[in-house]
Amino acid sequence: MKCIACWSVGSIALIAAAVGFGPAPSPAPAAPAPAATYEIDTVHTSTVFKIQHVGVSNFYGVFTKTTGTFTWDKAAPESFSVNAVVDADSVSTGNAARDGHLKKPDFFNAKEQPTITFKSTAVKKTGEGTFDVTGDLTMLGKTKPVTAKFTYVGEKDVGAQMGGYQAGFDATFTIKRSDFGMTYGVAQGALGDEVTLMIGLAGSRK
Amino acid sequence: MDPTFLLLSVAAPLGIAVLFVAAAFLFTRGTGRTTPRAWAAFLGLALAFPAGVRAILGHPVEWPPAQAADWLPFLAAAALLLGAVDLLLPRKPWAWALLLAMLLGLAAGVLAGSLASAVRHGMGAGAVKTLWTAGVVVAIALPALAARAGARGTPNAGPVFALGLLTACTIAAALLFETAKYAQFASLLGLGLAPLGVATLILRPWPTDRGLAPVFSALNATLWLLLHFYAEVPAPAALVGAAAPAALLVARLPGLSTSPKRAGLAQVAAVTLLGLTAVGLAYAGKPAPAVDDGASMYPTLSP
Repeated sequence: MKCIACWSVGSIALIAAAVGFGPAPSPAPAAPAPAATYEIDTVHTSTVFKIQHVGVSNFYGVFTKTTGTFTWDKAAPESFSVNAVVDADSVSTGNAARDGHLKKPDFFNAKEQPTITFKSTAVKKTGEGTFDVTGDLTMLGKTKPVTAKFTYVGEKDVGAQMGGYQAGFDATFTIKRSDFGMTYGVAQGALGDEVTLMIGLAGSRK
Repeated sequence: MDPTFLLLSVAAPLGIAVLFVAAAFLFTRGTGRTTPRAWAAFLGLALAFPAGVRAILGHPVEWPPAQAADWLPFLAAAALLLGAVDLLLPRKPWAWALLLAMLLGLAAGVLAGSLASAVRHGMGAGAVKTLWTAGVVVAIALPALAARAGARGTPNAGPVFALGLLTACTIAAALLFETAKYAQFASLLGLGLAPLGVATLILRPWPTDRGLAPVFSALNATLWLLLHFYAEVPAPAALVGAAAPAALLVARLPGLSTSPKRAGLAQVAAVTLLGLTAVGLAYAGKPAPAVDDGASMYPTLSP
């Protein structure tokens, strides 16, 4: 009798489950939200370079025009990617004569090579809010891989007039300018071969 | 100044040119033969130039070239071929047509190579771009043919000194527009010509009527065009500078063609005048410096 009862209960449970009266199945895990795309905020992005001058001091200059996009998801830092374009003609050091020289073939050759670009290819998280971004730097017609150290600074909605939802990072990397064919002053010791780039990157979410 | 850099960018090109002149002299001394000397005249220049370019660039020649200047060694190779053909061609009326074809090919190479970026960004669009393209071809081809005709008119030492002084003008224009690199490239032409200048004065006879003029003219025109498109030297200055070797044609004027000495002096004067005109046009067309945002480049001492 007991067995018949068990079977009955079991049969009823099976039938109930089959028609949906059983406990609800656990939902499938949600697909991760795609990283958002940000337009680089040219006005609030700083691209600064540092180079040693005659072996006794460091000299700093800027590029005033950096454009491009990056993708970012705070929950998934490895999804970060960046495609930045620096206008070579926007180099500025606070001295008109020097700026003119920097734009000429001796240095950035801005008429022939108007842009300097960085396109990321890999991201590796190195700590809380920090990650290494490897990418292709193209300058003076040559492309070399570089790895930049990125630090997440913050993100929030700053209001429509200020650019909407913004995210920002600090980035730094060092290159040898002779690797890109810029050798002026190196052999004479007038200017260092190594140049450090320091970028304060800001972008507005599209 | 780094001694190695001086050695490679100055001594090496000069040494190459000296080597060719010395070898040709030793090989032909007492024989009366001038053909080897004619070969040495342009070979020294055509080989000194790429050697110096390599030193100035600071890296080996690469393929494909990354920048306009990286194409210069290949241009020099094409110019060397041009000089060789000029020297080997018989003195026939149709010879200039073959040289013209080679010069047109060289000009096309310059447009596709050194001036590729200018074609994309710096020559405007439509009819303007077409005009500029044609202008580049004319600026490279015609002065070279004219210089060749002028050098052959009344053979003398004039072309070497005329073209050497033109080189000084090219250097001045490059420095005026803050392009030390192109000034160094131009100086290579002078280094290539210098031993030849000595040879034409001391080791006579030394022919300069074949090979040399078109080789120099093609390299010179290319440098001036690069100065215009990438160093912002005004177009009139660049075109006059590129055309200057054509002034060697004065040697064919009546009254000059019968006297090598007068023809040579006239060539020096005419080419130098055009070179100085180019520098003057460059200076006149140099934009006024912008107002500095910060301190002067050099510290000023308080009184």
